[in-house]
Amino acid sequence: MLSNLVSLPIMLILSVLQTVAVSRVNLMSGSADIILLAIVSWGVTEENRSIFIWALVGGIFISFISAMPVAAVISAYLIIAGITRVINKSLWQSPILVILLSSFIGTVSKFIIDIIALEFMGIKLTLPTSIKMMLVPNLILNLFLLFPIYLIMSDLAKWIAQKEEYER
Amino acid sequence: MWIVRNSGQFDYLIKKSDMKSISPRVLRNIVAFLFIVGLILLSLGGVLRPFLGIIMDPFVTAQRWLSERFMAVYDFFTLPRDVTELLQRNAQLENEVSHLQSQVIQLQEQLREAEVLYSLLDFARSRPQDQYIAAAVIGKDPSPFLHYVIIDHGSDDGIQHGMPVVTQQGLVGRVDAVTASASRIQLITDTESIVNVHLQNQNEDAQVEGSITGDITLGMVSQNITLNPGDILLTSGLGGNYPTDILVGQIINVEKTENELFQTASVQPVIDFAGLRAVLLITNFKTINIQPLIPIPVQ
Repeated sequence: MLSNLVSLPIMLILSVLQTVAVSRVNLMSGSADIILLAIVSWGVTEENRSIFIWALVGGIFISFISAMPVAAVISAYLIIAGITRVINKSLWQSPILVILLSSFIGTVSKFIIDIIALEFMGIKLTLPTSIKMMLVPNLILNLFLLFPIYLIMSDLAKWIAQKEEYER
Repeated sequence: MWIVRNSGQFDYLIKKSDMKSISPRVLRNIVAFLFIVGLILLSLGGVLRPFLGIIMDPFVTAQRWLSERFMAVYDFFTLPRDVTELLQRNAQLENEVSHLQSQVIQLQEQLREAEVLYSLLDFARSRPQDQYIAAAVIGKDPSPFLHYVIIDHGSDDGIQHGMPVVTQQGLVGRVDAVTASASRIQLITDTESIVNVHLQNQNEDAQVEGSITGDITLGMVSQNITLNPGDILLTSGLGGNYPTDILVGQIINVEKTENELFQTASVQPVIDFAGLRAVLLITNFKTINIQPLIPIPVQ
C-alpha cells in the first residue's frame, strides 16, 4: 500500500524534473526519459505488482503535460512495466542485466508507440531520421541516467520495505 | 758612502744618501689602493659583473634560505596563539564568502531576467496596438517528437487558446492548451505548425512548416520567384492565426528543383528556442477560424 502511495509524490517530482530539466538536455533531437527509467528501476527492486500503478501514475502525470495523446503515453508506460516484469521474472538473478535490457526494449517500444500515435494524428515521419535523431540519442541518454536512478529507486524500495515491515 | 750603479755601457757612482727610501708598508698601501681603485673602475665599467654574479649567487641563495627559515620561526613565535579563534574566524569568513557568492549568482540571474524583460518591454512599446502578457517558460514537452513549451500563465491570467506568442526577436508560436495556472505553447518548429508568411523583399506569400527535428522550412513558393539566402520572412496574417509583420526567420538555403511545382528553402528561425526564458502573449488578437469557409471538394 505504501509503495502505491509513494508513487504519487515520486512520479510528480520526476514529471516536473522531466519537464523542467531533462527534456531540455538534448542530444541531437533526443532526450532522456526519467519516468521510463524510474518504472524500469522500480520493476527490478520491487516484488509486488505496484509497478503497474507506478506506470499508470507516471503516464497520467506526463499526459497532463505532453501534447501526445493520453492513451499513447499511458499505454507506452504500462507496456514498459509489463516488459520489465517479464524480463525480471526470467533474469531475476541479475538486476543490472534486467534494467539494461528493460530500458533498451522499453525505449524502443515507446518510440514505436509514439510513431504509431503520431501517424494516427496525421503527422508523417521519416523513420531513418527519427531513428538517427531521436531513438539512438534517447537510448544513449537513458543509459547515462539509468544507474543513478536505479540506485535512488533501490534505496527507496528498501526504505519502503522497512516501513511496511515495521507496520506489520 | 758611494755605490756603483751599472747602466748599460757606463757605470755611475751614486751617493747612497741621495736615494729616496720608500718603506715596504707604504709601497703595499699604494699597491692596495691602486688595486682597489682599479677594481672600482672595472666594476663601474661593468667588466666585473659576470665574476661578481658567480661569487654572489651562492651567498644570495644561502641568505634567502636562511631568511625564510628565520621568518618561519619568527612568525611561529610572534603570531597570535589562539588558533581556535583563528579557525573560527576563517570558517566564518568562508561562510560569508559562500553566502556572497550565492548572492552574486542570484543577482546575475535577476539581471539576466531583467534584461530579457526590458527587451520584451521594448518590443511591446514598439507595437502599441497590441496588448501583452509576459510569461516565463517553465518547461518543455517530454516527447522529443513534439516541440511545445509550458509557460507559467493560464486562464486565470486571461490566456486563451490560439493566442499568438512572441518575444522581442520574433514569432514563437501559439497557445495550444490552457489550464488555470499554466499553458502549453506550440512552437513554430513543431511538426503540426504552419505559419503563413510573406517574403519581405519579394512581396510574395508562402508557408513555413516545422518538422520533428525542429528545423523549419519555407514552402509553397512559386518557381518564378527568386529566393536568396538572407531573405527575411514576416507573418502575413493570412489564415487569421497570427498578426501581421512579426519576424519569423531568414532563408539560409534554397532548394529549387525544376520539375517541382513549388520551391522550398531552409529557414533559420530568429528565436533560439533552446534558450527561451520568457515570452509575450498577444491578448487582444482574435484568432479567426476559417475552417467553415474552406470549400469541401465534391467527390
